[in-house]
Amino acid sequence: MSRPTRPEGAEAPGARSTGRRVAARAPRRRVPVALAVVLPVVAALVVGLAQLVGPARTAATPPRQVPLDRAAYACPADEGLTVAAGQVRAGRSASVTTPGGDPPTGLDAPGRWRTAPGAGGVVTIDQAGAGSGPVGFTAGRAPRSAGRGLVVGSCPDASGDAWFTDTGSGGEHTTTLVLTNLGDTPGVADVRLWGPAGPVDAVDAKGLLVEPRSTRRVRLADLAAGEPLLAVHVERVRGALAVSALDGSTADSAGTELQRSTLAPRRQQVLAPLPVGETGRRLTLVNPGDQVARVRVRALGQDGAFTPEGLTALRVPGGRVVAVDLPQAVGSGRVALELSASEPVAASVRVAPTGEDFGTATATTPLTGPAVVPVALDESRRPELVLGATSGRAVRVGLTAYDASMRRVDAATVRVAGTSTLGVDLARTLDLGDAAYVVVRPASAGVVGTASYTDGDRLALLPLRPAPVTAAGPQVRPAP
Amino acid sequence: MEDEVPVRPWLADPPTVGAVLVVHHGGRWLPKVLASFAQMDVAPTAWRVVDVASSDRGADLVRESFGPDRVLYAGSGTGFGEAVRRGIEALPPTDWVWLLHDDAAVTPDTLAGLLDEATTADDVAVVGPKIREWPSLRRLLEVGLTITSTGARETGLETGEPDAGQHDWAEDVLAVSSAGMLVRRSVWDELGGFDPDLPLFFDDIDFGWRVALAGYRTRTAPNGVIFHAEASRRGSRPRTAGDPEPWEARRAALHTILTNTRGLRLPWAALRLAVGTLLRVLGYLVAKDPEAAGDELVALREVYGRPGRLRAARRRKAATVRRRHRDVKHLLAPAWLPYRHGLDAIREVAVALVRPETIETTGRRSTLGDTAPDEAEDLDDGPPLWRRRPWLVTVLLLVLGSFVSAGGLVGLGSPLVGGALPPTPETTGAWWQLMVGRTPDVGLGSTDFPPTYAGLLALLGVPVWFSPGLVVTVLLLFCVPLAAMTAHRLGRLLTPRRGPRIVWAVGYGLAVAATGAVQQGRLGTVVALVVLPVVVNTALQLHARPGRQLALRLGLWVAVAGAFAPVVVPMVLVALAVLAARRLLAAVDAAVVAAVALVLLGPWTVGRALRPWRTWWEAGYPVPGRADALDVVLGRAGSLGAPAWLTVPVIVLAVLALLPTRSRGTVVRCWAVALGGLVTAVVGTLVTFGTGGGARDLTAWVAVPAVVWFAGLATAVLMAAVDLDLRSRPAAAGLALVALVMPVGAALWWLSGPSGAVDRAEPSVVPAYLTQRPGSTLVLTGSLDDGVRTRVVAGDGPFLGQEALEPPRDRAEELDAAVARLLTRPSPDDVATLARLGVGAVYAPDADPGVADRVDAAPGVEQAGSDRPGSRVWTLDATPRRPEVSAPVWHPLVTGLQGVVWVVAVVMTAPVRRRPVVEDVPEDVDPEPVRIAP
Repeated sequence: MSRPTRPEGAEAPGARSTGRRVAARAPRRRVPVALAVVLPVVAALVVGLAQLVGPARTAATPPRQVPLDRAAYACPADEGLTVAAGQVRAGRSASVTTPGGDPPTGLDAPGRWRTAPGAGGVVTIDQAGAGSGPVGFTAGRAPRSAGRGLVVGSCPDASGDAWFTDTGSGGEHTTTLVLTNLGDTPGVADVRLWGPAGPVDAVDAKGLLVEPRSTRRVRLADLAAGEPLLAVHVERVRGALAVSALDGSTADSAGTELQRSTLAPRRQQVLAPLPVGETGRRLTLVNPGDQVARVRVRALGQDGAFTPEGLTALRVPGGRVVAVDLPQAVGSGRVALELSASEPVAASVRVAPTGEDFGTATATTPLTGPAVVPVALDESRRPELVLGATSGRAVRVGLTAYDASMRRVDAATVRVAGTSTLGVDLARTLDLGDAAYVVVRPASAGVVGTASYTDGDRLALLPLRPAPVTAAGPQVRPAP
Repeated sequence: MEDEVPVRPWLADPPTVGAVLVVHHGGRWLPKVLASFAQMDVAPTAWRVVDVASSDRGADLVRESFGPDRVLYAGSGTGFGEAVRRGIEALPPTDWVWLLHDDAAVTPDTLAGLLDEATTADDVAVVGPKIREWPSLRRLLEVGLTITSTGARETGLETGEPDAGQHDWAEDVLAVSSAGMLVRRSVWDELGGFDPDLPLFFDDIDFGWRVALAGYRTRTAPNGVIFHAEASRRGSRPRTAGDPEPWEARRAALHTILTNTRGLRLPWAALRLAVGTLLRVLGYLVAKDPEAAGDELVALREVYGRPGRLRAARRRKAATVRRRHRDVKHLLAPAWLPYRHGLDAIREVAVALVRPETIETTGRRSTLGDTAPDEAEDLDDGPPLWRRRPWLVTVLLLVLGSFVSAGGLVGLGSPLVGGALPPTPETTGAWWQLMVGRTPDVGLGSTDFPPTYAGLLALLGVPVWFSPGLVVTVLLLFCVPLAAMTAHRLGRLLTPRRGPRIVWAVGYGLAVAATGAVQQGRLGTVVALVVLPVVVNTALQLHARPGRQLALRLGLWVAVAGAFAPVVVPMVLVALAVLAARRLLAAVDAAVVAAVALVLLGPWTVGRALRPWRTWWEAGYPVPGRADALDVVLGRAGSLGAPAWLTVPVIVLAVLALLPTRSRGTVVRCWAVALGGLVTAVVGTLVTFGTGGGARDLTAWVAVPAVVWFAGLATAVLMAAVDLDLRSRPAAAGLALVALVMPVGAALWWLSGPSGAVDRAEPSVVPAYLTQRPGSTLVLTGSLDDGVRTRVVAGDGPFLGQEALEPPRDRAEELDAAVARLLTRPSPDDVATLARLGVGAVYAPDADPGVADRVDAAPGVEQAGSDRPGSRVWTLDATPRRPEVSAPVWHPLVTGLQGVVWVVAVVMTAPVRRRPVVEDVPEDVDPEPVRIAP
């Protein structure tokens, strides 16, 4: 190829440029057009393939189970009640305190299942140890003034706000909130109340101060008297506050229950399964928002899921509490209720089959790890376990009984069919012997459960919660 | 002049003057010099000519002019002083002696002017003329001389200062040049003439110094003018055997000072000159003038190695000393003068180092001016500036456009910050500290090597020590003109056609901005893309002229680009392998390039440049890019860029560019380069990477290879356009219009001043009051549901360069685990862990309610006031422990070594200065002989 003649107006290359204009030099060979056309085709192929594969995207980082190596909880330990403390794995250390009093002895052995009689006040246990999963329970029979009911409740820790949908401040239904500050800094909480007629103005419900390492009991009647049905939101403003509600009724339907918080309002939730019994089942919902919530209830029965008539479109106006007796369509069998709401609602079910006592099934997240069920709080009280599978797949659940020294006593595996509930009589399924507690380990996710304790006409429901071996926490990583 | 004829009382009894002319290869000047002698109004009474072994026609000329009787001959190697001595000895007794050089012409009244001054007082022993440059005739060379304490000959004049009568008064000086020096014969004899140890240089200064110490005066006589070619000093006199070596000048300077400094000042002067000489050696080596450096060393050896000679000279001179130092001190140069000269020298070295290639290769051209020599003339009339110097005008417009585009971002004060760009430090010293320190002041501490680009910024920031933000401002906001300039320089290798070349270069500059890199604060991208045309340019030169020096330079530029955008390194390595395989580059050269680049990048190579996928982390925070393959095809890497469709015409034209047969070979090569960029960028869109400190799952920002793809296509279009005669084909003119779509469209977008993440603001990583508290601050972003991101910052956050220092992996993991537990079930242990890691406060700029709730619940954490709505601050009750993390002792050594390697590479890359070789100038043919009257 000869050099093109320089067009007019183009600058002279100059003597120095001669021989330096290397890239413009004539190619040595002619390139066939076919070869040249290959290049855009290759480019198109590269891009096409990449589009097929799709660009790399940053993966979502949803909450995950964070391993815990320490947990603290607060057990109301009124007279007549027994405090029990256990764990999934032996811990490293445990410290026991009672704000304003002497702690009961025998509760500070992190490698044992231990119990101690309550002497009033609250027992706080702070136990350390990787994967220990310390849990505590309060059990016993409440005094007459508190409804004489059977109580089996798990001790709350200081995570999140507390919601109760079935409490009262009058009409012989009285509830006392027990706020315990587990930390060394002051704790502050705001309490909001709702009734069937709408939000209830409460007196001095804002800025409830709980001094470090102390307990404060707040009778709902002191905040807003005369309300037989109240929903409560204890909003933790500051500090490590553990909240439980001691709920007692001395009306026609008497009884007592030590409630832990139900789930904060949400659109989808599953309530802890209910034991057998057709009568006295009442669903209570609160809608803290402004919009009307339409709630559809699906029942996970022993034979599968069904939508009971009368519960297809519950209407919960904004800012109100609605209580609904479960219709006959739900049946009398073991059942777990699954709620789908158009607006966030909080819910729980009260079960009062005899009128002598009642139990409360709160909403719980499906088990993400082992849960502990006390089985020897009283020789007579071997609980029935009601397990529900929330997904369509069957789930195997391992049951292992341990004695107080944490030695394995017996083990069994049960299978819960998809979207159904299963009753497990622990005393029959396992050779409990001198077992103190049973650890429930679902093989996969999607299992909810309730331990149902009965003592004659007395009843207590203990919704299963995973021991704090892990807890749902955020995925944390360095910022880019 | 006639109206200014001075009154000359001495004319009544004119003093006798014997003139001595020393000739040595002066044939080039002698015809004119001799002619000037013949026209003097007042002439010397006697002449002697000393011919020092002239082998040119000069010998004949003086013989013809003066006759054989008045010419003496001296052997080669005879010094000027010795020649003068012989001449004077041969002279009859006269009152005055006049010394003349063969390269100095006189005016008719030179001698008269000198005598005017010489006869004013009896203690005037020496008179010197005003010396102007020959052949310019207007510039002043000397009006008296002195010497600095460092041994520099000092005239007190600016370089090239024109003579406008500003020095036209007689004054006492230390010395005058021997060219035209009028000396009282008695004093000459008393002092023994010039020092025989000074054969050529400094003999005049030494003599003047001794004259002053002996109690006489040296005067300048501005009325006497001579024109001096300074042939010896400039090296324009043909050298012959026996001539003084170039190092003689420096030796003479040292000798002069050491023999005339008296008393206790001598040891100090000796030490100072020795150390100063060694420093000068170093300076010359850095400035790549090895010959000058060698001269300094030889001179040092010659003076200090022969103390006996010094002692003898001192003894000789001491005999005539009648004055003390303080009597002559005012004649010596002021003490500060050497330092000013030193500064000038450093400036010269710096200019030599940073001098753009253009100047080096094309003499007077500058980077801005794209003028052929003929265009530089006719400044007053002719076509308008934009036609004469279109590229200069284009660059000026681009600079102006940068101001418009950047809007309020141009300025001083607060640093540029935002997006991927951390703020610049308060002074450049912080960058140096970062490079040499072992315990960087960053959140969790770090044992990483400092990033290589921080070293380069430290270097660039030296001239703007207290405002290093200027460096980033210029690089970032003026990236379009900068990139266009480097591209245009490359374009001159590619095509002789100016119009398309300018459009192409401007298009490249705008393509850099069109990626949105400026708006996102991607300094690494911008610098790499500004440098890449230089890399290609050097590679093309290396292809044309294989050689180690060019390979070294190529490696250097690759290292610069790779320091800011490590992805350049693997791209270049692959390209080198391909070029070597196809024998377009010598394999050895390619290996040198690769080795030099990797060595210069130092630990950076291991940490980033060759770490798979982490190469995508450029200078600044690794803010994820969001590009898919289609974005890449359109030369984009994500949001905030120019409209992507602007690139479509270029792609279409690039495909069409494959059609013309003549240019197809070149076009195919451009396409190959483009494909390399495309594949690299597409791979970048498919991968994610993580940092050493634990951040992971980051998508890559692929602007650098995406622009390589675009630039390859644009170059293909340019190369095809070269062979297309646009005027003959209307269709081709249409194509040219299509080619303008991208530059014009991108320019409009650019001028609209697109805003982005970058802003000029005080760094507000954490609320101001937290920076005063002990301990670092844990910054939490994100939410419980979507994940929480942590960053631990010390003080007001990392500055540019520090963000590359990552915490030790174990500390980072410990922190993240503690934060995860804190945000799950807070316990005192987690807070204690934070304090142990040095955290004193927690800050959530956009606090997620869930996160805030959990931190609220944490024991040992107090809420604190926050500076803006939506943010939350907590302080830890526990006292934070200082992170005791420091890099190994050998890290600064490696970094220092790396710095030395950079200096060596830069020095070796710079052009070597050589003494100009004197070309044989054709002498006038048979000049008319000039007869000088006896």
